[in-house]
Amino acid sequence: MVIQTLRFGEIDVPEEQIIEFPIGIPGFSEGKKFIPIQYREGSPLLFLQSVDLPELTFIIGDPFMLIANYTVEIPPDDLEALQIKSPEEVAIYMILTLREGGKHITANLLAPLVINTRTQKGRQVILHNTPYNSKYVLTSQG
Amino acid sequence: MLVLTRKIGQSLIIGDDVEVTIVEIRGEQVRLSIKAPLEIPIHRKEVYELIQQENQEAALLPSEVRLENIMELWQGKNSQEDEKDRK
Repeated sequence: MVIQTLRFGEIDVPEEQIIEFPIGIPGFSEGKKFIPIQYREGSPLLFLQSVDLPELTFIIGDPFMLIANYTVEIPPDDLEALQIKSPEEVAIYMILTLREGGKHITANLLAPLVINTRTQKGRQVILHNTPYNSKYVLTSQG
Repeated sequence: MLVLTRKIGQSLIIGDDVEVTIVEIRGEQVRLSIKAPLEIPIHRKEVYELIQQENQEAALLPSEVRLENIMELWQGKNSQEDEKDRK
């Protein structure tokens, strides 16, 4: 499937890799389908490009690889809505924000992206009981 | 906008399948119980608005951004912390 993007131009995406967020992502309810784009195999950082909105790209990261001792408890309703039956079929990513032109980077750990890798469906889950906030400092210079 | 008065234990039905019940009233606080289908997420409004805003900020990526550079920043920070640990 060929899609238009602002950042990567015209790209051909394998349909089986498309992740659908049936209820959208807060703030971007019109963008429901995304394609993860790696720059290197196995990297904990990825681009998440909207299939529907050419100008919408996020940077996402694997919290288990980037944050020491990261743990998360997904509310049962979200697990049920995503039809997640075992931990093996879950992928969790945090959305990163580049602040001050990228001088420092924060991660939204209050609302991780939870994806069922079997169905390729996900949602941004807003956690109720978490020690983390939406602006976890991932990197900072100076 | 509709404004209704309800007592403890009474409910509202919104559409066919959303039910909101007044559970408890204590001073200025009201406890609600909400039954809704799983595909309708329920959030405290201020938290939902925070996440909307965070997502909008996250989407404002510079046109030239390289994941390699972010990895280097992250590795730099973590090696600094390792050094602190050693001292």
